[in-house]
Amino acid sequence: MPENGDSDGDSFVTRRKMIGTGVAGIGAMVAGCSGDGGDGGSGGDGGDGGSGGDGGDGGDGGDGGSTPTVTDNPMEALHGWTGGDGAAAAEQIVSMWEERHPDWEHQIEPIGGDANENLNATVARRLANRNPPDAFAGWPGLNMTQYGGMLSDLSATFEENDWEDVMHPKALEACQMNDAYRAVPLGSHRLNNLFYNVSVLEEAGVNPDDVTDWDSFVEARQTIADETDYTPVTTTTVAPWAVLQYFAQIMLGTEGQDAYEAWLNGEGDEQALVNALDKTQDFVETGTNEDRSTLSFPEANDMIINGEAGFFTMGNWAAGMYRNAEGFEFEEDWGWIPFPGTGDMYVWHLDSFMFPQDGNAPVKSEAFAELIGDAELQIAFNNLKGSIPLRTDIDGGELHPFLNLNVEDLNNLEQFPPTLAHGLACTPEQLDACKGAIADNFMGPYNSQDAASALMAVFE
Amino acid sequence: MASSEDTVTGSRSIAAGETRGDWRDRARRFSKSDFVRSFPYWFIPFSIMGLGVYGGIGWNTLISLTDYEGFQPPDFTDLDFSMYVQALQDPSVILVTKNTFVLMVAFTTITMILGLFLAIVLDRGIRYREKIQTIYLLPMALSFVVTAQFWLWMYNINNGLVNAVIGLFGLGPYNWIGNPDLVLGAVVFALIWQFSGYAMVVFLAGLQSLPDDQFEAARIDGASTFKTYWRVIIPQLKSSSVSAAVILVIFALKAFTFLYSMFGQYRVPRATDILATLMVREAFQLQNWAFSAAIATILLVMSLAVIAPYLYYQYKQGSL
Repeated sequence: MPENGDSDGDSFVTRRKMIGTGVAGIGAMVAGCSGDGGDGGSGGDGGDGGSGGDGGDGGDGGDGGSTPTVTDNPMEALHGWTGGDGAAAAEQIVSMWEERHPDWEHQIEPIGGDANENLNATVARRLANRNPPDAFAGWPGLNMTQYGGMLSDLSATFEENDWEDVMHPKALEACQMNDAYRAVPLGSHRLNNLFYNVSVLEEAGVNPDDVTDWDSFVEARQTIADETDYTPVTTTTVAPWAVLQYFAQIMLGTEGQDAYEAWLNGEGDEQALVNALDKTQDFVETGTNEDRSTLSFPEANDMIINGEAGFFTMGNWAAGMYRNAEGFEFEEDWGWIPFPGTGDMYVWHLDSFMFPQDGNAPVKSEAFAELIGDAELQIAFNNLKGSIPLRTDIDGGELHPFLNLNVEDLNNLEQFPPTLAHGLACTPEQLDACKGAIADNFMGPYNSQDAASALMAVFE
Repeated sequence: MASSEDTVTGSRSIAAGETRGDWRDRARRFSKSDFVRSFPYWFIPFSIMGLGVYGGIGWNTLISLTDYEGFQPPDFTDLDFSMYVQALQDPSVILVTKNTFVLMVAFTTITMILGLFLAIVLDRGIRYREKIQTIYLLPMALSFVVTAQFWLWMYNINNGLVNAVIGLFGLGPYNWIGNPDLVLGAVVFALIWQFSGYAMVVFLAGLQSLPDDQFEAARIDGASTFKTYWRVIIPQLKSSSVSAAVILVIFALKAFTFLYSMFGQYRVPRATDILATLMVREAFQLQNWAFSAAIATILLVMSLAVIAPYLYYQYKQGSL
């Protein structure tokens, strides 16, 4: 009995301890939550103060006075390059970081998903929760305005590395917000491409050099349909961004850059949009693969690689698939021309890294910014990614010949309309509204008039 | 005198000792009661669950009353229903609410009817019962990511299996995904395919718990097989159908995962746009946190509204 009592007592004590621990644990959780909330609340004010402080730091850096201390926190950078060539390119960032800063822990991690969608969602969630990563990949330009007030001022880093002299001026322009550099440009994809399968065009007797404008493109498309059993153009319409991108290329190719930018500035001519949309409908429906609404863009691109289709238009990330395909060589098996009517344009897309103000490892993230802007990294990364480095001091011989062709255009052309479907030309709200306008009016049944007025309304 | 006083004091002290003993005794008994002994085992999971589920619902509702957007912290001083007003006046919210309602009702009803039918067929003791049962249940074990992708292939207009099969009857080919009139039906069909096996298992368990006597009694009374099921058996499956219906409505809400996997985007074709996809777009693409919280509340209320009359009816019948 006493033994029982003892053991009961023991177990009672244990239970009491357990309850105590449990309650304390929950108390701690609640306290943690409310504490966090409090932090968050004051964080708003502190954030503002912090930005002032940052500015001060920048000034200090310029003086070369104080050295900020290195924290033990790992440097956390998020990006969206998970698949194939993108993952290989991101691996370059990791290995060069480890080589240069072997003692500094890092978490350079991919967040998967099409067109940065999950990455942007993760970044938004973490910024809203006041738990930002040290760096994240994203599109600068107007897309960056959503992070207004949250991003570090990188002007000192730009100055120290003389990036203003060696980066493409267009990239410098796109990376500025509120009178300061807020993003480090990494690479650019060109949007106005028309890829073709060499043997399909040869069989049909189409000379790609003759395809220079909309009418010659329509003619070439018809010739392939008449002369061969191949699909003239392979398309994807599984998501509205692809249709929006087709429309933007056709608008640029037929109505010109002025009409396109006038529309983006809210002074567009609705009839110009209707005309371009009519042609977009024709582009999507005439001489294309019927299964376009169930094909993703890599599946549509496979038709070029498999020799089933003549033409394909996509940002030049599509060329990464050709490089990875066995025995499918540039100029022998596939070729490139600018999208019809846009020969003197480089439709402009930009990948960059941005750096939130209240990251956990400020010194390391500055080192990461320097790495991203580094010439050696830009060559290694962009060769694998299939995009174009933004340093103007890179020897073209170090790049893949197809990329080099685009580099020459990047450096020599004068018209740089910004891409719409990839956020350089519009805020996230406007991009969402554009996709909505396309999804509601232009994904079958096609209504050019309604789509044009909806697209006009976005920028008015 | 002194002794009597002593006695009195003594008796008093004894009385006090008794009450103290009583209190101790009660405390000990209380500490050994089932409630306290089981406390650590149910309280922690309960509070974590409560915080996660009901705390989440409460927090969501609170956010929906603010004007929270962007990355600045929400302002809780000015709470109103303006987000709900805005949502109910937004034509796109109305449209996606309609889509959500159609998806939820069509999916739940057809899946239950099909599941019941399959369960009855299997309960008739057909050959290879266990194997067939496994085959029907298997799709539920697959992730939405897998099923969405292969239904996308199945619905391909050129080489998809669906068009090949209906082609045998001289129909089609139909553009299941590209045609806005067909795409919602195509999605609902794929979801039914995935979950009818689950409904079947639930009903089958219900059927097998019924004693055989009832079939025999019905047969002796001269009822046909159809009449036996219709009048005797199915009315007894009420609790099975409650649990099946609740779970299926929850799966219908999870159609977001299926749609996202199918189209690779938060923006899905307009005809399949549901409240869940709209909510994710508003929250994580546009940072309209309060507006999307309001949409989430509408979604919650709507699913409760769909299931509530049924639950109430079952409650009245005493099956809940």
